[in-house]
Amino acid sequence: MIASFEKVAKWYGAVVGLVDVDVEVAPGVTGLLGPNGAGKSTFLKLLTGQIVPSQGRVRLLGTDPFRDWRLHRRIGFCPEPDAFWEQLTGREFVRYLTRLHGVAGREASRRADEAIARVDLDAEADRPIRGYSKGMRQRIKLAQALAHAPEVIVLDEPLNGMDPVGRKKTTNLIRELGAQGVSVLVSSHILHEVEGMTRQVVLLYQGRVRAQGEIGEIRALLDRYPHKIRLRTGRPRDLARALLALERIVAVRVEEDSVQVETRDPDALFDLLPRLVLDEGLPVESLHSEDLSLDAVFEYLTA
Amino acid sequence: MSILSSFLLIARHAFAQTLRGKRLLLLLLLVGLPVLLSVLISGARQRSGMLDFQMWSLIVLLRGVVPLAALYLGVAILGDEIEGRTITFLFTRPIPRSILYLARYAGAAAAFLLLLSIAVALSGRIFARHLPVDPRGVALTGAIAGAGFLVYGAFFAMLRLFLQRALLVGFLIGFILESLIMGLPPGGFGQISVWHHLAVFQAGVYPDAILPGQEVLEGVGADESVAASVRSLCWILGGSLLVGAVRITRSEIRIPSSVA
Repeated sequence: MIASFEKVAKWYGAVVGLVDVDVEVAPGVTGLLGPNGAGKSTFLKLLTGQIVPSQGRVRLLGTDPFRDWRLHRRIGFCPEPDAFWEQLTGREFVRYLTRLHGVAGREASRRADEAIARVDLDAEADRPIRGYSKGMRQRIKLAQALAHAPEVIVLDEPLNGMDPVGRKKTTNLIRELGAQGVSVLVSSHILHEVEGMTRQVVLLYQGRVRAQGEIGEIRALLDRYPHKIRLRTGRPRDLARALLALERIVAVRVEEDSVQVETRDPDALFDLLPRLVLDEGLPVESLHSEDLSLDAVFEYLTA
Repeated sequence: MSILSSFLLIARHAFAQTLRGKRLLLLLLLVGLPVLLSVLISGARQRSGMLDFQMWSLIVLLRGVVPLAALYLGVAILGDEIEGRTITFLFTRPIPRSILYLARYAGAAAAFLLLLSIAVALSGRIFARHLPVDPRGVALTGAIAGAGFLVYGAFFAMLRLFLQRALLVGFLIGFILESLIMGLPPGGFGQISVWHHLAVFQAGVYPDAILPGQEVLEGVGADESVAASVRSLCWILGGSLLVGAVRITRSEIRIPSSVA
């Protein structure tokens, strides 16, 4: 176990950040999943000792992250806010923060250069950060979290603003770090992003931990709840009638040029669709899962 | 790498931040004002050189530029990093928060003291071109102004750790409250005013200077010694730094958009 939250609550005045959080984080890569406003950043700020819990106890590597400043030698943190000393170049930024991690002069420069190369930013590293794109800014933040070779890396929404190539590379980097024995806790509000990095997740919603474990278990849990799928068709009434005959269909709603289906077994529906199209001659122009966003998933979990 | 190295790194960064961009421009305007006034005053030749210089330093430097710059920089010492949310990078380094706070104070103070000493030296030279001014007096005036900046700056920096609106509250304390206290009849009230101690300090070093400044120094008791005022200034400086360091170590600092 690298981290634990024991009955932790955090309030900001009247606003609730986290409530009654009891969680243990195992070594390896762990995804912290939740829609915007779920309490992910509060969770990570508590974990990295930036704020103190209003109630309960937080431990990271066996110690209190707010009180024990030495602990930060072993931690790398990539914050979510887009905040920098804009006049610094990427290289100066990473070197400065690496030196503040206790790494001496030349070694700090060497490690900073290595980390910059690892996030593919060598060519841009000597430009001031104020000229960086959003994706580059995310990558330079990531580099400063890696440069001092920490045991635990905490990443708050690291893929935000990255282009698809950047996302893919960062996802691979996080998996590599996990394979090298580094523990990574990474937050995201996008389920499939986290699935690309790890099988281990913690689900947060409205400041509470709703589930924790293997992503398969979470998926199984989610499968107990109906998924919404929208099918575009020229014959919505006929398609709706055919769908109602299927098992595990919870509801069907007919709209002008589409049908919205709620099913507890989306995979079975996907298997049956080609047969409906071919045997019944029902045209299906497209299908769209409305559950790509975690907000919808969490609505099910908390219903 | 030691705590001292971290202290120096952070102080150097704060020094560079202070002497850059819009902040530098504003500070140059602030320290440029007394230089400009020294040209006007020394050109008028209405008083003896040293008395003019003392009046200039009392009113323009100690009552104007020093507390204004201290308020502006003191509040920004951590305030800028908090509002800019870059404080997150510093709070997640293996450095005691008190060291971070003191290092930023030291860096910003060193930067302003550099500008201030140039402005005082330049003003001294301008006065000396027209009027007989003692170079030692110029140096001591610079030292008193520097001490004033350190004390005011530490106080305002500490205030920012307790209050979001430290700039407004600091202005009310540094200018309105202090002026009210100085306007009160002589008694013990002056002891709580930084300006009072700076004025006593200056008057004690240069007794002649108290004559034309009598109306300004109304609250200063005759028996007060320079040593007592220096001690009081040291207490305010040390106390402010200590309270600030304890505050940042023990309490959570609200960073904008903490709720997520």
